[in-house]
Amino acid sequence: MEEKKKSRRNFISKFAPATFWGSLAVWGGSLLKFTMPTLLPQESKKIKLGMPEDYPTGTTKLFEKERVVLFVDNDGLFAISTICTHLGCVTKWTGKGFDCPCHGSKFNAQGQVVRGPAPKALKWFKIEKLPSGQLSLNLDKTVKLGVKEQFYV
Amino acid sequence: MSNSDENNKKPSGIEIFLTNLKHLPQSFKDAAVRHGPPSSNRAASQTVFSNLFLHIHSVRTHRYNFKKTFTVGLGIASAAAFVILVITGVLLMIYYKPSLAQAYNSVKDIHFAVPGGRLIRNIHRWGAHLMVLGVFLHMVRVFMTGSYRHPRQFNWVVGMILFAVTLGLSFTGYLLPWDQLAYWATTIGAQIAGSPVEITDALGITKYIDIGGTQMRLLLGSDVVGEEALVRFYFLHCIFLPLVLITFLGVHFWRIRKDGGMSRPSKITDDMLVGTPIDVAAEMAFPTKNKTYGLMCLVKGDSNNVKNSPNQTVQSWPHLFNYEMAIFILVLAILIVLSYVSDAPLKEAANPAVPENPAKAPWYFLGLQELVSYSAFMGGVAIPGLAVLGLMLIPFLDRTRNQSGIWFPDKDEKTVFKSTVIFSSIVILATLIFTVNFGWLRNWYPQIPQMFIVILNPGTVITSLFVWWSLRILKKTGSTRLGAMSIFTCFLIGFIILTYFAYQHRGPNWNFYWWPSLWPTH
Repeated sequence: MEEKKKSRRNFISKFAPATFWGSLAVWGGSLLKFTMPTLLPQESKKIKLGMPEDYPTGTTKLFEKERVVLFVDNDGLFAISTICTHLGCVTKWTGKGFDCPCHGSKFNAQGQVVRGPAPKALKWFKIEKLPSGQLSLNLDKTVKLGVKEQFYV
Repeated sequence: MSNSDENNKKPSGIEIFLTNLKHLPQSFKDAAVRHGPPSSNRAASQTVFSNLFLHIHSVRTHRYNFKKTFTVGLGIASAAAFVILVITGVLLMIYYKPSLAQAYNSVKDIHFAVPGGRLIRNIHRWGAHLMVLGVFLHMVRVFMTGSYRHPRQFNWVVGMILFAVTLGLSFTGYLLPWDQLAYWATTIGAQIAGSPVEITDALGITKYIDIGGTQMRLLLGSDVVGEEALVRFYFLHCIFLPLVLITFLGVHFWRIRKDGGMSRPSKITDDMLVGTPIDVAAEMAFPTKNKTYGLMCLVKGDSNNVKNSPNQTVQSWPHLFNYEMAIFILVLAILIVLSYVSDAPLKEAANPAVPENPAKAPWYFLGLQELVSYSAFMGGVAIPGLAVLGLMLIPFLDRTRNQSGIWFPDKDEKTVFKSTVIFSSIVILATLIFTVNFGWLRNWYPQIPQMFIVILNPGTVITSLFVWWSLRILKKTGSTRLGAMSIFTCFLIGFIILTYFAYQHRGPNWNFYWWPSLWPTH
């Protein structure tokens, strides 16, 4: 009888602080969760480009705000992101390639790394044709490097 | 008899009231300060231990602490800079508006329109630089004098936390003006937080565990530096990090006392104390060293004070407080002079379309930026992370109980220090010269998988050579202190040279230039 009483007291005396620390941990964890953003406010990721005939071969168009350059060559249209894959600086289209001002990464006209610390090639984005016949650039969808779209007029 | 009774009649309520009113200043003072003026040692002691703000000091201070060449006052100077930063920071908060539309203009207003605003902002900016410098040099002093040793290991760890929080405060404060410099430095900083993606990408597991992206989103509240990031940085800079810093600063100060005062050699001769204040009475009072003394002079643990007489100590009031106030005034004077000489920069408003070129971090991050220009993950996360962890663990890995509180107590430490300075300088300069002249793997093999560069880049080469050198010293000398000395010196020299190199010789596109005047105009 004595033994049992003692162990119950032991149990409670251990259980009480465990409850305290346990509830603190759960509460703290939920507070951490609170700081994790779920709403990521951002601009629309789709750019309306207009009709295919507006883009003859040889066109180069820079979308400064969206940080993307659109090219048209004999194989079709393609869009390359100007955001450096190293640390997010905006690279500059030089006519031959992309130069990053921050840490000296250089990319060729295809967006492949030529020198510097950038770990991978620049992103290529998907160009789609809307039902209206207009073209749209979708910054949510990337395509493989070298994929160019033909839109026959 | 009856006459005097009449004279001694009970005073009226009004009279009592007037008397009390007359004595109000004195009785108020007696209630607030429960002892006389600190003119005797006893009253001076009471002044210290009955005052919340003073009692974090011990009542008596060892004369060795006053040696100017020992501590150089660096810890106090850093704390003084922090106090000044809190005062100026709170003032800046009156006018600063943490929103995209108003942040830049409000800082512009503070700088150009608010009376005294430019001075306050300049002091805040210079104070931040001085605090980082002070904390860094303080760490160097504590390491070099071996003061991290038992029983002060834990306080060294607290110090490292304070160092990290100080850097965090500068980093978060950098964004608030929302100018070009702020925007791009923060973009780079946030991407460094996201750089573990380099590893998860190489392993192809980013889809499942995106450590980098989570960290970055937690910091920015979004995928890009914008309104959410500004609010988060404002909160971190003005509330969260200062509270963390104040808490740990309290612990740091408290532990100095609890660990037996500041470190000092076990035997201190009189000629080591030349130029420090002296309490003749204390020197004379106890000719025998092993006499126990009153509670006030005792501290816990096997510190040097236990069972020793209080000779070689002086009253903290006024000696220590005079010393601290002198350093505070000196720091304030330096900051005000600097603030009149040089303005805090404010570039054009942030423009997400055009990066600042070159986008340089503040000077204390430039060494890291140079490493980051080789590999974002290694230079921005792995190497600094290992360095901080290694620094924290030093007192637990080097548990020698040699003399502490002396710069270079024996010839070996001096020799190792000198040879390490030479070795690490050569290693870093050679690596930098090689990299600038010949480039690195990506230039020779453009198709090389990124993992190779992450593992083998100038930053990891330098770090491996440092570790190799220190292990060699450790093996050769058989002394953990000398091993710690060499790795610490390696990183110290590395920090200095890389910082200088990135500051002076890196220009637009992070290209090498001899001087900034040679930068191309753009």
